[in-house]
Amino acid sequence: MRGFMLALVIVSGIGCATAQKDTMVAELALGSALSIGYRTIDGIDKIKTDAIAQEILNGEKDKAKAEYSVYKPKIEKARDALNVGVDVLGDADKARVAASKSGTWADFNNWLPQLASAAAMIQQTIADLKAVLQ
Amino acid sequence: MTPAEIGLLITAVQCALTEGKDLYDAAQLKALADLEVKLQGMLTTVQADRATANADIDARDKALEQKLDAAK
Repeated sequence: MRGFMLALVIVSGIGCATAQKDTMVAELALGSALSIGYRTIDGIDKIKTDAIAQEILNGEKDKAKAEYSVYKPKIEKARDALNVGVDVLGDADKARVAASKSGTWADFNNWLPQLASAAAMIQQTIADLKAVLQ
Repeated sequence: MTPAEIGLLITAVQCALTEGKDLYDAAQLKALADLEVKLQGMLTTVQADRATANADIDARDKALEQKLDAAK
């Protein structure tokens, strides 16, 4: 009986540590996607706004206005997607810390697919935004 | 095997399990602590990249709108 209880404690401990480790790895992956995402949209925005500013200097005001009106919603959409990703990362991190303190991981595992989904959404958003340069 | 020997064997297995669990726990705690440090660094980096990108984009947006207005 004592052996069984000890085995149960070990298995339970391994389960909690694995859930926590998996989540932290998923958080790191999302954080990396977000960091790359913000740097990428900053770089794309510089290229695009410089190009539009050059058109203004060249006297192509209407062309510049038209390009800006198409480009601006795209950059805003990308920023919104990244901000959603930051919210997911922040909420998941808070939930993980709370779960590690309370030792209750049952509901927490729902965060893993959400973290993966947010990372995939950000990668797609960045790919879409890169297309504006082509 | 006598009952006393069986008792000793069970105790030995329990000791091995406990020692194994202690070692496993220590390794897990070290791995989790290392990950936590990496994660906190990553969270700080994300916040810094977010602040930089947002400030840069807003500044360029404002400058471009001023140029567009001036070109009217």
